[in-house]
Amino acid sequence: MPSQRFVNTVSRSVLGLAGITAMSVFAFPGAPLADGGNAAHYNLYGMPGIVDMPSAEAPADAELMATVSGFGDTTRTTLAFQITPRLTGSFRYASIQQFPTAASVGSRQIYYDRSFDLQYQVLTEGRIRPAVALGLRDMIGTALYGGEYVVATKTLAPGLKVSGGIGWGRLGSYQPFGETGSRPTTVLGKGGVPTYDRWFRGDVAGFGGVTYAPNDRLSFKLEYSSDDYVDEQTIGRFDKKSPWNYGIDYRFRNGTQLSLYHLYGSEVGAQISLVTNPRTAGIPGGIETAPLPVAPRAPGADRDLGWTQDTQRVSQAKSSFAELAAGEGLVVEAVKLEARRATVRLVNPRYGAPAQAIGRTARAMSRALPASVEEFEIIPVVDGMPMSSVILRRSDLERHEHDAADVMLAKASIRDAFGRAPRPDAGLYPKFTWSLAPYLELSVFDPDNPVRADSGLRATGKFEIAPNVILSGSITKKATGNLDETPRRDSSGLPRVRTDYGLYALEGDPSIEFLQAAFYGRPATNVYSRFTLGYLEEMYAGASAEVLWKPVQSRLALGAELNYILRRDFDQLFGVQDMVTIDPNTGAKLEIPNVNGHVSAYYDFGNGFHGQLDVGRYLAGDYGATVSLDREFANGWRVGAYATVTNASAEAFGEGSFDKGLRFSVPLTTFLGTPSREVSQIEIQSLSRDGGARLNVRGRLYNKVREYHEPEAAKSWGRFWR
Amino acid sequence: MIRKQIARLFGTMAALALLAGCGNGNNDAGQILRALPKALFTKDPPPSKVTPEVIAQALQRTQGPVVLIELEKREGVQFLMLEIQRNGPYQSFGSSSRQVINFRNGMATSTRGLGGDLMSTEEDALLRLVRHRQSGTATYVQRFLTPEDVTQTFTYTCEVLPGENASVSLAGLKTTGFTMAANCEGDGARFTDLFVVSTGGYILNARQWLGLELGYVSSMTIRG
Repeated sequence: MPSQRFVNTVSRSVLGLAGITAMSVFAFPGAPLADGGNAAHYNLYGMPGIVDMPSAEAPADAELMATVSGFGDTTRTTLAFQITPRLTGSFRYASIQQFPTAASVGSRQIYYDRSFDLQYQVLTEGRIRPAVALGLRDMIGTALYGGEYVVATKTLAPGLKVSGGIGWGRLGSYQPFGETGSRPTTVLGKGGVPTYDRWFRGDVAGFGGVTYAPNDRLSFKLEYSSDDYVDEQTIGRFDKKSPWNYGIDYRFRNGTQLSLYHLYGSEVGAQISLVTNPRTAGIPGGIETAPLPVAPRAPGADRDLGWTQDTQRVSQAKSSFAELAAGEGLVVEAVKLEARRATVRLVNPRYGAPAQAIGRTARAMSRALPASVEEFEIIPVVDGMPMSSVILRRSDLERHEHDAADVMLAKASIRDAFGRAPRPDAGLYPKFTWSLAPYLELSVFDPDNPVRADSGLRATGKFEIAPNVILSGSITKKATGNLDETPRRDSSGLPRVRTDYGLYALEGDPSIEFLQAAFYGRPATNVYSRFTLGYLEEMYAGASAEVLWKPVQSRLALGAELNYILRRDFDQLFGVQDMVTIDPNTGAKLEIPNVNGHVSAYYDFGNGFHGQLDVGRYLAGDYGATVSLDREFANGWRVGAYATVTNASAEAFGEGSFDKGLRFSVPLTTFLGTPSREVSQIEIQSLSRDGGARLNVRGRLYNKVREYHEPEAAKSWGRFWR
Repeated sequence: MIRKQIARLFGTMAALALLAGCGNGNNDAGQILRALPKALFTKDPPPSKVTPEVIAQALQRTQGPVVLIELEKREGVQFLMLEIQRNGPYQSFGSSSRQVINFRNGMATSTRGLGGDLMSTEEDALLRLVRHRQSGTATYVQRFLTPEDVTQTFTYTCEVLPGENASVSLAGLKTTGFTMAANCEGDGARFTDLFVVSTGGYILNARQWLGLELGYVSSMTIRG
């Protein structure tokens, strides 16, 4: 079965082993118990349900659930997300031991399978009406667990819930009472395609169950299963004796569910479900120290302009302001001080919420700048690019310090900063930063090993010659690990732009992950640019140019990227190699084109969802489009999915038919309780194949740019006065 | 064999953790890692109480206003805060560990740095009744940030009732004044705030509910 590449990459700054370890300790900081006995229960599939069967419950909106369950020879690991208040989605990796098929691995004949489920609550529960949900289980690909259902759940008394439903596929396999057409068994394409030809077809059977929660912590469960476990019984050694399952749940205060089951008359099972929620996890408002209070001016003090002639008072005001800002973790690169206004060039290395950086800067300005300065213009700068100009009136700050933060948002004016930022003070550049830290690289859900990892040391360096001219790179040296063991060398009908990754893992030690020069710019109003040259990523060197159009008030952005690439040597040092790749199995020679690129559209729907469309030419020379949809949270959490369809045929693409995956952004602030700009990016890709692959160049513009623009800054504007 | 592998893994991890990253840039993740052993293996000290000696010292150190705070929900921890800024009718009091509570005529209107901070209030109507020692009904609004960084607004209706002259003591200190009670209800919460008001209409002493996270917070003016 297909492998999953699980990559922990780097975003706003480097998050190495320290981050991973800390995450594993703190991960799932817990969502407080919502309504005790009425909270949704999770089943062996990590979805709302009873024991093995689904229920129509919907967990709290935005809840993230991670479940590991096991019984007999089966282990299932599921990550589920409440995408909207009614829609639940989940990704699962399962293994069955002693399950001899052509795809099984090792002496224990382990069969690995991944699956994807969706459940939609069609009707919410009313006083008399039960909740009703429609579900598709394992709806893509080979569909080992394929089944569809309609289920109803009703709370009869506090803590007592009854569910009943009808199922198709696996859920219609035990004592069906009817059928709706015939259910095909052939796999569409090369797998990885929605199994729409099977949905709600074939045998139909009934299932149901009861959960009873006498208090917030305990639940007792009883169910009648319509899954006959046909494959497990015929191929594996599962021995089903009864359709009845029963179990007991214990729920901890942080929402973690522990369950013990007796299953199918012959097996004992156990399960742990960890729960968190980007909306409720962490300390509300954080525990960082208080900001400086605004210092109001004495009445009439603003008439004194004597200081403008006094260079000593001017430089004193500037330096005391920069010092106050530095105390807040902010870097003031320049201040242009005029009689009635001041313009600040600001770099924010600390605050994830832009409004908090702006607010704390404004407070410091009120304390340090001469009283006649009424207009504050704050220009956050990222990689030398002025991102926006936030103009605040000092008298508004004085008047509304103790009011709701949105009052200041209404009073603030946020404009394009093209040509408005003062040049940085002399002596700030060039600037060199470095770090030496452990790293951990994971590859999970591989066909022959569910978890493989490399760990070692990573040295990172960044030399900012000028604010917008940045040389950077990183080198890793492996200490221990098994990423390079038995690298898969699958056949591919396309130039091997990604399927040779095993060779890079095998030979690249030590390896130069990247080594590049990047030039950022603001060529015009609303326009941002990037040009990157060097060893851009582990497999490709070359040049990459990007422009982005993004008005400061707009939720829409348009971009274009053009790349010229050379294939790096497998040892990931300084050499590059021929662009012609040779298939290890067929010997077919195919050439990687030098040129690829995309045009992109980005749109923030404004309701917590964000969409992106990229159209262009991919690494292997295939043409197509990538559609991405993310659920975004004001605090920086993101949960999203993407799919790429190109003109490469399913046959040429191979296993999985087309590229798709899930991605998560997890800000460290949630775990720290204090401001941080570190975000862990986790990507689960269906499979590293050659179709629909993009260059992994660093420093793409969109997320940098939009952060300080009004639609994005407004989301967490409540932090302006924090 | 397995034990050897585990030992090797732990050895590597420990060696790597020791390094925990070094450099001259930001390393927030390293910060967590270094803080872990302390967080896991040290016990919190018992919550501090303010003694008359501490108060005397504080009054000597500063000429400005001083207020004593007690957080009931945080094991009754007590600390002193000194006035650090005035802005119109608002006084900002700061603690030695850089936390701030803002007061308007002695009524707490916001907190900063306590965790689960009260961000702002609409207190005009409630404050007017309390200061003028009048009974009546007032609308009162509290705003908080959620862990998602979204502002959450709670609106309450408060029934304000005058009490009588009373003396209240906190940390061995007594204040005498006119007591006022506000029974507030709305948006899923119900609480009673108590105020001791001077003849000049300044709240000398209060026990106010500042939200689910902070609970009841008592304040006593030591020097106004």
